[in-house]
Amino acid sequence: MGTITWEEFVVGVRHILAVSDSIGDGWHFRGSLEEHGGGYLAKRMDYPVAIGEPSERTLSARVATIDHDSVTEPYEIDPCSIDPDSSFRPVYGEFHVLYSLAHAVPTLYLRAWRRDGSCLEAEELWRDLTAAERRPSSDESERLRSLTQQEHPFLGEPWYHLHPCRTADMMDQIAGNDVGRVDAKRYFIRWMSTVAPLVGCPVSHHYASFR
Amino acid sequence: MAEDREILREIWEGRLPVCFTLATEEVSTPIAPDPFYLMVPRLTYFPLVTDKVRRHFVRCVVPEKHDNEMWLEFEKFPLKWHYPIGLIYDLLVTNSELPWQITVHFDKYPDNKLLKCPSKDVVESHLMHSLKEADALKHKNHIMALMQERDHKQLWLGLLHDRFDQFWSANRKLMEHSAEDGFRYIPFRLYAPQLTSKPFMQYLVKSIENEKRLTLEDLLQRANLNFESKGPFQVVIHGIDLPLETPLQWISEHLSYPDNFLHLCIRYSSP
Repeated sequence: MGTITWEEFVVGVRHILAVSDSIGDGWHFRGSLEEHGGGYLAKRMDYPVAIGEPSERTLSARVATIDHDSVTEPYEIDPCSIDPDSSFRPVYGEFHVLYSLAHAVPTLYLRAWRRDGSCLEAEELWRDLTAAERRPSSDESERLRSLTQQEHPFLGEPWYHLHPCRTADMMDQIAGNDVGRVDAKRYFIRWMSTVAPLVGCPVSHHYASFR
Repeated sequence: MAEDREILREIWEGRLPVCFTLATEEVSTPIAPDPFYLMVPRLTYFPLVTDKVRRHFVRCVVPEKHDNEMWLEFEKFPLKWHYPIGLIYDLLVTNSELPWQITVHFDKYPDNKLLKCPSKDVVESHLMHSLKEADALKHKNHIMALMQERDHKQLWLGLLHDRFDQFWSANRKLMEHSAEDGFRYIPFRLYAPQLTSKPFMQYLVKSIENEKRLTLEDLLQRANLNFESKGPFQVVIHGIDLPLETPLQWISEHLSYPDNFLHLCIRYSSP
């Protein structure tokens, strides 16, 4: 199936909030859990800005091309390069987990800001937010990496959004041989641990240990 | 299957007269350019019909800005290009004065408010995304996924080149449903800026419930909002004041925008 109901989404949300509170991970809920599609999970991440220090990217990495937005050339990041102007680097980012009513899956929105208040664009998000979470490119990752700009359904402003269309398929594959209806908590954790790190939002192993 | 084809065509041919003027602070030529008049289809998106507007004005701004993305503004509101033109008009223009006075900008793109639109590909991508969402709401087995790429292209090209027959040759498939049941859920967005800070409201509403065909009134009731609190109101789409007793299935089949969504505006009579 690969999809979840709003009620199951709420079960997942409550779990995230409970664990997050106990480990101080910063996830909180905005809106109403009682109203169908009435709110979303949010988390802010601050990025320490090191001025004049060598880039932390110890592995040479290639930036994947983006499906929908402008196509970027794959390039190698020189591990010895010094960040010439750290004012372009992100200062903080926000990650929102919304429920897609149409596709009946969770969906991720993100945005990152620089010190001057300007926002990072798609290519920069891939480069800067995912440096720490770099994984070898695979077909799976490539397909998941469809970051497009969308109007945030609650805030009305441009945010970057991971397409929900493929989520159901992906979750179907991940569920694999699970029999019957997947447990809502398990679904939510699986989804989040697969998707969030792709865009630089780490998911602690604590979320996977429940009950 | 939509039977009132004349209505489909009338809606398709809806136009708005627009008067485009370049922002005075951006004029760099000794003489300000003439305003540019254009009839724009309600059903399409600004980036698809404003190439001429750009060509007319871009030579009057400083050369450094010649490659900048153009953006439009009405009474200080930056216009969201990803909204159909008719929706923007229904939402923002309450004085009904025509032509619609729109200001053109090339400078200081408000990228904290407006999505980027560097090319028509972005508009196509946006349309496809909306169509998939509408389809997921209407049909359990997604027709968009079963349609061939050729049909997807018919939808896009039909809209791009203003060809009703081309568009509907593919779109009729998306309007299909079993005779008794109607659509699974009605794809719609409700715009009520006087009542909520959200850009729009969207929730699940069926076409038929307990063997009763749901109406526009039923849809409003499920919003859990007191619309009357701000006074008498209308529900407007394509400039039409919709009677509340109209069945949702009919409205969805006949008055949807090309993205297959009903974009319904709540309009109050008094400010």
